[in-house]
Amino acid sequence: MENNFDLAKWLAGEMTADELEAFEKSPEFNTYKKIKELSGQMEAPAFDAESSYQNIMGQAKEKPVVRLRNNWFLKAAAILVIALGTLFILKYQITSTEYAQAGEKTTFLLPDDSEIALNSDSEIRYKKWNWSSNRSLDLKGEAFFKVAKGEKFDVNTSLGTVTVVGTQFNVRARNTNFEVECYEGKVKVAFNNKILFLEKGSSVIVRSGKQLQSLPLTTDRPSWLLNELKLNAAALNEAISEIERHYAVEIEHSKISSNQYFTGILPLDNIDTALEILCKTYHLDYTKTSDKKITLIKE
Amino acid sequence: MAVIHKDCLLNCMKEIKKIAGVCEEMVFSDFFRSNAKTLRNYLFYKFGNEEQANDISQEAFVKLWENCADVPLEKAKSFIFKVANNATLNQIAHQKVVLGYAKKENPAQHTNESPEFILEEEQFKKKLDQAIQNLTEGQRTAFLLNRIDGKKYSEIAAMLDISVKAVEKRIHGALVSLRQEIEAIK
Repeated sequence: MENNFDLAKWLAGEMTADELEAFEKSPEFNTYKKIKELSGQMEAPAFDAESSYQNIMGQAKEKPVVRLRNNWFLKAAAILVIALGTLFILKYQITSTEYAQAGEKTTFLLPDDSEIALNSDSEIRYKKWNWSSNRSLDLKGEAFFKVAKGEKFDVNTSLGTVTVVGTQFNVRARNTNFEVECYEGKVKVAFNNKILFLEKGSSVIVRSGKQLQSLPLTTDRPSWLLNELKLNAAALNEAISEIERHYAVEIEHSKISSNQYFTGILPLDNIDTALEILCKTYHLDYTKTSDKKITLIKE
Repeated sequence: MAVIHKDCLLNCMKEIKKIAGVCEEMVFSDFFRSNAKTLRNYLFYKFGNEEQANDISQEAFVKLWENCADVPLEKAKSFIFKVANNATLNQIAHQKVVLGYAKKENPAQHTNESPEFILEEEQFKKKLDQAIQNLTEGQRTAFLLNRIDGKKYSEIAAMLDISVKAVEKRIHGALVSLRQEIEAIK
């Protein structure tokens, strides 16, 4: 009887009719019956559910209002945030590059709202991160700067450095030609261990390390922003390069050379006129071999 | 039609509760009202100390609420019993489990009984009380959870984290002990 825990079955009313009959005939049955009956009337002490519940809600530590049911959600969100944050930081740490291709001009803003206009085939590199405290960029080619007021502003080229505080100026660094024109404010130019200060309306021209005399500026911005190419005692090669760059064409001129310098203005909106002026000056002729190719020959 | 609706509603409620989880106060308080008394009684049967039974069962629910995000509804019951059992591990000295008696269901029957019968019953009750004190903790808790709280063996097995067979063994053992002790005292 013991191993089958019959009494448990009996108490739960799970005995078979036969088993029950037999059990009820046993001498112990009466006692068990009474035990069952009286224990069924027993009560535990009263339980005040309401106050217990109040205690619980009062005791529980500040539960965060938004409790996410699933941990994975929290983890995924955290990873996403970190990834985005890293990307963001990297984006600003990495050097940004702005460039204008041949035949193009582009303008853009620096993080401090300084404006830069890039002439054709020019490139500027700078770091967006912490820009306002470290306004230093690298220039290849030519650009016009409208610098917002702030900490000092450096333009680094392979030929020299220009430092300004809140001004407008043009820097041209091509081959061995370094030219800086100041249109507003004051500009400090450093090249070949020399330091110069430019004020509004003045410029400096350096060719192959030698400084040339320069005339006062007559406009409020560089000529190329006015769609004109102003050349100051430029070699023929330089003039040709500028035209190539600006119009995005190739000019075959290997058979041509000249020591004559060109000073004048070439239009940047009409290649034929530009070529004609040049040709007239140097006694040349030009033919368009294709849409983007021109050949110069001696007259 | 109406019957189908009712079942569907009940199942839907179940599903909603499951998804909502214990962090939803409604679900939590619902769960509390269904289980708090049982937990408290269980602890009382174990140690006989009403105050500590109240305290420990409260503690268990507080822990459930604080950890609600990690405990799905279907695990909540075993959670609170586990917490409660752990809390008592180093504790309470065993006290006498004092149980009262509810009024008999049919008072008319009572008045028809002879004084001798009533007296005999009083004596039996006394012996029963005493015998219950002398049960093992396992037998006592299983037995009283069944007799007083009306819990089925399967429910008791889930609460105490033992098999149904083990519950049956305890119940059987309890009945045998009770009878033996009552009859010995006679």
